[in-house]
Amino acid sequence: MKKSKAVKLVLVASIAISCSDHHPDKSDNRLYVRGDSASNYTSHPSYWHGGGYFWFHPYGYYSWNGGYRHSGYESPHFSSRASAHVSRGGFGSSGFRVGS
Amino acid sequence: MRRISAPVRENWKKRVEDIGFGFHTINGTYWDESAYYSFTNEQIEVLESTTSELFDRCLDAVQYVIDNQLYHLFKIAPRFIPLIEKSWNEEHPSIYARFDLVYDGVHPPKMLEFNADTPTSLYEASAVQWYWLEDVEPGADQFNSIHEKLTDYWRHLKSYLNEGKLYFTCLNDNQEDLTTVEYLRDCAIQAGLDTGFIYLEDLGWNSLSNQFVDIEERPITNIFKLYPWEWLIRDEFGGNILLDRSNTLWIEPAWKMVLSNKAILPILWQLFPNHPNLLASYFDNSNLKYDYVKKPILSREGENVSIVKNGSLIASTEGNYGSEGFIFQEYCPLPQFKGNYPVIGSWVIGCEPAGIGIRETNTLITDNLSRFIPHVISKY
Repeated sequence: MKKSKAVKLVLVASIAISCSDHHPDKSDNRLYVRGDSASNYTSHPSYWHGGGYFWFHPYGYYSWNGGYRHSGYESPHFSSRASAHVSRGGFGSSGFRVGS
Repeated sequence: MRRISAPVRENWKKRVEDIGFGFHTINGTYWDESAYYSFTNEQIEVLESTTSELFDRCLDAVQYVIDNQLYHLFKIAPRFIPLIEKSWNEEHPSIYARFDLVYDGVHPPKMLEFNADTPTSLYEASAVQWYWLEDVEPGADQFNSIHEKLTDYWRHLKSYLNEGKLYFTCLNDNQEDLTTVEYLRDCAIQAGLDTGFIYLEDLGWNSLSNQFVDIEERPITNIFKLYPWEWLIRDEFGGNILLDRSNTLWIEPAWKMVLSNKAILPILWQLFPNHPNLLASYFDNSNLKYDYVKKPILSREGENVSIVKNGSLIASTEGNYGSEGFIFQEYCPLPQFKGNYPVIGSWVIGCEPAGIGIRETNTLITDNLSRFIPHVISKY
């Protein structure tokens, strides 16, 4: 009566569980922001809608050659040369864990 | 309602990790399949109808607070009142919430509190316990349509969103929060929404255009945040929400500031005295002299809670909350099953009851060390 069969169709796999802390690293004018960030923000495989195959991967994934890639985002625009009128870091100071 | 001991799956850690559940062990066992709770169909119907009833009464209470300008009881800064009222009057949508209920399978469930703004344990309730059921008792049933309802509701919300992506955000460096947010985003993607993720600390504010911006400095117009409103408005950027030229749609909406505050409990009791699913609650303890639970109006994970019975303190927790004030709630002991005390987390997706997740402790106060226990609907 209350069954939830759809879950099986869409959540297939997430392999890794590490949540390692990679500090921002500047190189080539790019600021790489942590390795354990979320999924397909920029350089990440797209969800494949057509075949009914989805991949829940909150921490990262194994690439085709077997190497592990932390999910994350990087951007050539998010750098120390970002616009002077854009400030960051104004949220997040009131707590470190939300759980409720 | 029964608590049944069960053998754990031999490869349980791999099984839960394979579906993306990485925080099964937090200071000891968190995901605990050495037991499960079994309910009858009738008991599930009771939980479902209670959740629906409580949600409706909570919405009534928000309207009452707004109509009577009772924000001072919630210690909400006056300058954010227009934001709350705008979000309510424009029906800014909510995606989810969770009631914490006392239930023993016999007596009517009682509402302990309403996690209306930033409830967690969502993925465990929706997917992890479902896969457990598939492994240990295929063909059995569970009160759990959280996943379908989330996907359906995101699809429904498409028409409410502003132009542009729907961003998801949470605090950096927290696996539990990230999993919850990414799971919600997974459901939104399946509903066909264009989404993005940004850590809360990375959210930008463009002081030239008065807009929140993403990493590439593109304006943000819709955002789901796993971060409490009371923290959001206290932070340095909090005031910018009022200046935001994009009129960003925040999910959960600002009106959840009223519902996620425990000051809503005395308001509910005042509006619906002797309601079978409510516990007597007040802003002082004069009506509950000898038996009560004292809770901060703003607190998380059972911190700074005290239980007084027969005039004596029988349990309390430490923490960093309470500066905004307390409420006093009738003491309703949790049912005990072989020394274990379960609390039923009953999920609302959109406006509908959608399933339950059970947190269990060995103490009278459910805190962040409580375990998640799966459940089944008994065939008999």
